Amino acid sequence: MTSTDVPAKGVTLSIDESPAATAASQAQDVVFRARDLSVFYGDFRAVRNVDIDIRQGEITALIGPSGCGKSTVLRSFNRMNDLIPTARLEGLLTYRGVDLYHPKVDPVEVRRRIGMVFQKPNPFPKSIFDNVAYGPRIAGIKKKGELNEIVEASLTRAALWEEVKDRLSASATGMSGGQQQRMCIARAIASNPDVLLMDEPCSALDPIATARIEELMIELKKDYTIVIVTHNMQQAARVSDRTAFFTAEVDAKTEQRTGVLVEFDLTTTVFSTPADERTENYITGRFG
Amino acid sequence: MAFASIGDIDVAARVEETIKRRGADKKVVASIWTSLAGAGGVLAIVAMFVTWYSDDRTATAWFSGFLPPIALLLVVSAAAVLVAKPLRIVGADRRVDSDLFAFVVIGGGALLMMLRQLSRGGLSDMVYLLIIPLVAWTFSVVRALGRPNRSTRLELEQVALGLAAIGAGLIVVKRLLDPEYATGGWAWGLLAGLAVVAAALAACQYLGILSIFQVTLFVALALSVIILVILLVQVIGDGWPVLSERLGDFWSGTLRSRSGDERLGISQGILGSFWIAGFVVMIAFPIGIAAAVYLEEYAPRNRFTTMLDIIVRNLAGVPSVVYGLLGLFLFVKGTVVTHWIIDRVNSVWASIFDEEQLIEVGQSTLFAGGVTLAILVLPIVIITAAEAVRAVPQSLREGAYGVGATKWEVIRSQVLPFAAPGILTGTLLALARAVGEAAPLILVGAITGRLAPRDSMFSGVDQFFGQFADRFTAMPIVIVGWVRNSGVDSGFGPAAGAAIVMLLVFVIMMNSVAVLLRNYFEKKRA
Amino acid sequence: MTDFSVTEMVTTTRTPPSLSVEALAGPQSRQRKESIIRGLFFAAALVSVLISVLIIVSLVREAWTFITQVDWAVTWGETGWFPRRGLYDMPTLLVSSIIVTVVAMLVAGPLGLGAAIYLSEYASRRVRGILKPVLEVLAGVPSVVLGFFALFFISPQVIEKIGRSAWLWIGYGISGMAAVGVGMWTLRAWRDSDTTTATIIKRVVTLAVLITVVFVLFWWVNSVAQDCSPVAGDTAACPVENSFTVKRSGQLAAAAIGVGILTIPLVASVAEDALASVPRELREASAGLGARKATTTRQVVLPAAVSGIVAAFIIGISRALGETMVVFMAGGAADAAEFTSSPFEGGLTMTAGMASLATGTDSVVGEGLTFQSLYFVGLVLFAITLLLNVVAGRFVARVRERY
Repeated sequence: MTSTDVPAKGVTLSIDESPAATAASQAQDVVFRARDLSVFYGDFRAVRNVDIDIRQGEITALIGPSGCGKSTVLRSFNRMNDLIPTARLEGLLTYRGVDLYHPKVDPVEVRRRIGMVFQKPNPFPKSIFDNVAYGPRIAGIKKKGELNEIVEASLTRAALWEEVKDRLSASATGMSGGQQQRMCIARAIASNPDVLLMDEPCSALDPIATARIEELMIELKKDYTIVIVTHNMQQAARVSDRTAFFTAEVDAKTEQRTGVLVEFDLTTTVFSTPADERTENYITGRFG
Repeated sequence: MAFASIGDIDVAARVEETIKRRGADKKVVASIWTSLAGAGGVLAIVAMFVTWYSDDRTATAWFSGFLPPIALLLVVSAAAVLVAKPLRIVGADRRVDSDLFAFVVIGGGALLMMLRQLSRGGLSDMVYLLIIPLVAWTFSVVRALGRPNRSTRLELEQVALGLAAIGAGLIVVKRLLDPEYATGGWAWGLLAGLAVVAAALAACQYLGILSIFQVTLFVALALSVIILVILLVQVIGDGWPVLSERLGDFWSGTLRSRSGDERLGISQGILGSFWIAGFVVMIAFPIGIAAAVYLEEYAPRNRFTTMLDIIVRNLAGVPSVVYGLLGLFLFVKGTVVTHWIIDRVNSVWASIFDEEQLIEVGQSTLFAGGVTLAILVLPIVIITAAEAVRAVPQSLREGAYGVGATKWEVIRSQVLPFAAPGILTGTLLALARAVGEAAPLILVGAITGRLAPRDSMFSGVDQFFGQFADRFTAMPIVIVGWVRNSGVDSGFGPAAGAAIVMLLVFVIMMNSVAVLLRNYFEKKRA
Repeated sequence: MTDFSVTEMVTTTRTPPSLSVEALAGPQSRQRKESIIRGLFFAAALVSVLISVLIIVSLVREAWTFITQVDWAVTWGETGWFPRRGLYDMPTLLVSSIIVTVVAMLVAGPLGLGAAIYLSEYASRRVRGILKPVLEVLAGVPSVVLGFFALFFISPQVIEKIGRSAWLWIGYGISGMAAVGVGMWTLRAWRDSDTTTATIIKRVVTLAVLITVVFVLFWWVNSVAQDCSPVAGDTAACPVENSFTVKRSGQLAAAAIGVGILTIPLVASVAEDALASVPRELREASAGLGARKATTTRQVVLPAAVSGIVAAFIIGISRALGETMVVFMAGGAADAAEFTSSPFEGGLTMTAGMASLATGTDSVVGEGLTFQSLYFVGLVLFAITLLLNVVAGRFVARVRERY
């Protein structure tokens, strides 16, 4: 059974229905599928013609120099780009077979299933408990007992429980950067999402905190699909299963930089035998 | 500073030594002059006020005798320092000489002017307090403006000395010319002014204010503060008789036709202002905050939103009388629409309470006053609340959205709590403004004369609600009424002063609390 | 996100449910609730539009009655503003408003701007921390307090003590300084080598405006010097010194100074915002080139912030024009006034004229168009202040877009 694609906006797609592709997508469910995806901010095209499949239970890394649209692509997965008034999408982006940008789709529902962790830790100015319990609370869970369990489980999963279990009512802004970021991860997990999107989660942290979060990611892979944007190639090499490499094309006339997906493959392949020369240049540090 | 050694001479050490010495020089001279000028200035200020405000001949005569010796003392010391100083300055600093020359020229010109006025006889005191420093200032500023990056560093000793010397010299000259002449008011003013200026300039140098430009600016600031102080002193002083003797009665009294009536008081004013504040809180705050939330969170970036923003800003700049005109039009005179709305409200009210109508249109009522002021204050609430909401960091919103919150949930649980202190500050400021406004209330027909006191509003439901349909007054209106009556019955003056003190206490308290709150939260957030 | 079990979340790997668009659509009730809430907020925002409309409607409606029914002869060139007798001489109110505004800005302009520059550029943090709140307290003082102050202190102790002739000297002095300033500006512009046609035209125009202003200032001071009695030109009744009748009820000059004091904090705060918006880098660059503080301030910061400073002045003018209570209490006229161009006489500004119509008697009564005249003056005032605010807004926008 092929995954049902709902072609939207009059785009005709050719779906690869060869036995090999069918088998491949059956073996592991495709969580996100982007076909010919372009994201615009007004007239400016931030990223163009992205074709990518994010598979369940994997960590997919989006790497590349700055300004290539990696974050833009990531944020389109949970419709965070909606917060920017001039943003719009062309092409197709499906989540488990459903067109994410279908007019009937409610972004709030989307974001309850697809959680996000941001570059700079952004704890709410509330207690640690209230931070982590925020998601379940708006999902309608009111009972203290249930909330306690969820908070404990999420903080445990995020490898933070032992450190904060005695001060859950303390302000979340009083923790160190690494702790804050782990709390943000716990907060995202508490809503029981399907997918975790991470936008450069370690770039504001020191190496030790980074290492802890990378360990965490590998742990979390068991239960969540994770997509991570990172500047740090070595990090991508360490944690991810698949890697997508983006670069920027400069339009000669307008001098605008538009991101483009160069290569998307298993991490081991991308880092040892990259197919594209640009990928190889980036990996070996010749630019970017 | 690193200088190479030249031969056996350690240049660096030499330079340091010179700088220290020059600094020490300046300090020594400044301290001598500061003491002299300060003493003279204090004396002169006291003398000036004594002659200006008292009619006591003996006091004036007494000080009159003092003046020539003081003048002489100043002249001698000025000369002494003037002569001594050039010897102590290292190197030819021609700027010193040119300043001195400049002030001699100015002094000469001022002298001519003074002599001309002297021949006419009889001058107003304070003008000449101002002229010479003003001219000197203008001259320095003009010179400085002519060339960019030119230092307008005050050679304060020269300025002070020159001015005082001129002044003292003038008095001495006048005395010589006319032995009968008892130094009169103008001389006081002159010397006082010069001494004050001299002392101030020396003090400025001490404080590190070192250029004419900077002094001018500081004077501007200081004047503003001084004016506020004088204002407070005068108001409290005028109102003190009433405040100190009859505070309790004053608090509970009502409007009376004679100021001597011991039942005179401000209770009705307080009540009116209280209810007006209530209207503002109930009407302007919710609508204003909601409008601000809409403008910042919901509104799309299009022309309509920009227009809304412009409308709100322009409303904030409309003079308060115009709001009074609006209230007069809508509620006191009444329009077809308002009559209709109020009739509906009154019929609902009558069916519930089976009593008199709640609000009336067509005459001046507390309701009209309250709503008018709520309308006046609304734009301020919107603007300050919008600023507070705008200051909420986007990362907070994103964090909440990222966990799947709806827009309202984000606003309710993240934006509003974060913006609450700022909103609170704005609302306190708006409240203080509303309580202090008088012009719209005058137009809407607040009572300034005698207002019959009502039964206590707690004595019954219809007493409580009936007051909204009644004539009313408010603190600022009471003050205006009494001030106007003070021409006829001067006892109303102190009463007005006392009322002002009470109003000021309230307003300043609210403003201070608002500012303190804002500073506290800004510090906490940083 | 409906029911789920905590243990499930922790231990098992779930098989993801198959999805449909409806599953991602979310409950209808949520959408509806959000729409309703949005609608409520929108309605609140519309209230301000409603108020604007109502203001304009109320003003125009009544003013229109006035405009269509008044005998225009009585609105110009009459002896004064006597609305209850049907004499609606607009110049009386307008000239008094202008006098009050000009004198008020002579007080508020230098003091407010000077304070702002000092606080922004020179003051240490400690000084700033003390003096800025003081200015904010001054900003909160209600206008009735200033009216009291103007009537009971400024009028007797300042205006009358100093005496009319002394004030005239000051007036001449200010005009003289203005003339000197214009002369210096001309010299500087002359020496400036930029000679494109556009610049020259701009300079000539500016020079013409400046000269007119100085001329008007001199002429006004002169006319006040001659005009010693309520009826203009009757110089025979004019003694030399301290010659104005001591009116217990004040005079325009005292009220104008009171209005000026009231406006200082406003001018100061807008000017300070303008100065603060000049980026630090500019100051640092200037200092790095070896300029002294005063030079940096005068040559770099002030020119950069000039739009905002102009905006501060315009906003101050608008506020001074709209101020009612100070003139009402200390301006020296009851509910009618003769025409005068001297600030030492009592007078009524547009605002005080409106307020005085509404007091005295229980409501606004008088023959004929008294009530409507109220709205006519209101309309004129509203139009002028609206225009000023719009212009000021443009200047503020210019500051924002530069930085």
